[in-house]
Amino acid sequence: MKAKKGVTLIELMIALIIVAIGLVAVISFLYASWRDFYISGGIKALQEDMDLAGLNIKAVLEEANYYEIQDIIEGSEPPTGRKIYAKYSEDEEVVWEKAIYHQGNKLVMEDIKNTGTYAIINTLQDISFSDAGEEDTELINTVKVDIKVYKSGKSLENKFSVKVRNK
Amino acid sequence: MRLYKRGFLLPMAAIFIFIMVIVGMSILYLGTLERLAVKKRLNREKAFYLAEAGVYRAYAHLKEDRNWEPEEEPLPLGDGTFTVTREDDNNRIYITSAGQVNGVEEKVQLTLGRSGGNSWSQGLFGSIRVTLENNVKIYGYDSSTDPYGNNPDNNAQVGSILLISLKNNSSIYGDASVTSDGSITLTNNSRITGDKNTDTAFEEPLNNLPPVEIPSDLLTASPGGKLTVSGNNTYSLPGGNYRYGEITTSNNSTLKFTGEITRIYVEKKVTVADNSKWDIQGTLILYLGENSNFYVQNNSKIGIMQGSNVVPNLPVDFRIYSASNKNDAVILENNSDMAGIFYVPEGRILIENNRKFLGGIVTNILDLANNVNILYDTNLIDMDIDDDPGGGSKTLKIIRWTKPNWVNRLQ
Repeated sequence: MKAKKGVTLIELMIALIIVAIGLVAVISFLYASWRDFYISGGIKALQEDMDLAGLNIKAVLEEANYYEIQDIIEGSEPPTGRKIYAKYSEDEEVVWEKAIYHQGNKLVMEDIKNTGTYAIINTLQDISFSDAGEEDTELINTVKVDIKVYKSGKSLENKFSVKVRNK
Repeated sequence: MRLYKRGFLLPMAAIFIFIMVIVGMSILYLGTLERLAVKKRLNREKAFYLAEAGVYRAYAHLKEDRNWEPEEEPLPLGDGTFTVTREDDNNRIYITSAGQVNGVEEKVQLTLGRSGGNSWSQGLFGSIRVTLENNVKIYGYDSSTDPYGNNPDNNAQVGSILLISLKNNSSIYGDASVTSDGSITLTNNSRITGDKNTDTAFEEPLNNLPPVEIPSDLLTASPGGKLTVSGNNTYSLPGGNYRYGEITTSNNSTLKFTGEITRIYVEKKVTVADNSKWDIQGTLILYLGENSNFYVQNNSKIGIMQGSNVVPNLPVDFRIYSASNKNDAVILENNSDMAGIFYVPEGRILIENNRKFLGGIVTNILDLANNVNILYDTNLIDMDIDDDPGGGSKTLKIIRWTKPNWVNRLQ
């Protein structure tokens, strides 16, 4: 009977080395994927906060027929404020009246007419409003918004303009 | 024998490939979700701007033609379509446009109304002057809820380019407005309960009242000569278009206008005198010529007959458009009651001696004297009166821009 031939040490080592390389590659890839997923998850959450804030600011300003930038930052040129007051009135009757401003890490919407306040997002780092018409007369009745959100070491910044269509 | 030899590489490679497939699929899945979200957001933006394009297109059409109706089927534009609908309500037009891109829909609505002025926004307006003398009272009322003016309010509006003068216990229960070139004077216990505006910028057409042009179909109507009704008689005039040199009713007589709409061009003179009555059962529109006079005197009444009584018609149902530039273009005096809207841009209107008048007056000179009560119909402000030379601009302006899906969340 012919004796069974076993694997040689060299064969075993080659196989182990290949397996080890493969495992290292897979683990490092999985780790990188997990890290990216974690980071992009945080950024995605910030993006969603940014979208939500933008959507609310646009909804209020687009439909207002009066606005006023308040809480002006000293020395800012053009005048830039941390609070915007907006309302829509018809035949001298106020239909709605809101203010949006920074409070702690919250972006707050105040319903002045119905007396209520609620937070739009909890990740606000900074927000400012300025009148685009101050710099460019073609942009009259347009509000520039500069917003920065922050959470767990990650931050996002966005700038957009809203045309106040009913003014 | 090599046939029975077992290797490690194949299972390891299989496991490795399996793991890589799972990781790859997960990345693909997350990437697809992200891509879909971005695409949906982009489509939403596109749909919004399509919707906005739709309402502004409709607005452009409506500025040219108030009767324009939007197409029923969606109109393609760019990567999507938009569908416009129109609703009319109380002199306002609501245009709603829905933009659609790949199943994502966004809506924008415009509320449109007449731009600029309506001369009836000033209840009583005299370009040169408005004078109130000896216990003249001017109130407001709303004919849509109080057709007979039983509940006068403090919403009167009196305006003039140059002068509003109140003397001897006269009152305006509401606002008085003149331009920066004008003045408001009050003497002997007179008062204005509302605002006294002395730098008013009146909207057109109040700054330059357009002249009255007699419609061509009335100018060419067969001349009816002189229509006279007197001595307790009643004469009925069916609806239609008429042209007369003069109309006179006197001595307890009654002239009935029985048609839905009666349009009359009178070249020279209209006299409603000595307890005579005009019974307007529909709408009466009176065009008066350049050298005309309109007199209502001595307990005469114009309105709607209910038995032997005359109750006020709605002001809009009796309209006088006079091209007269005379000092006595319109005179209402001595206990005669009536409701109507008078537009006499070049002449003078005098109302005196225990008169009650409901409606609106726009003229060159307006003089009110001796216990006259005027009730301005505030319902005239938003009324769109066909062919009204004092009705102001018929062009449309945007009153409100809204996103219908958002607007209720704001209020």
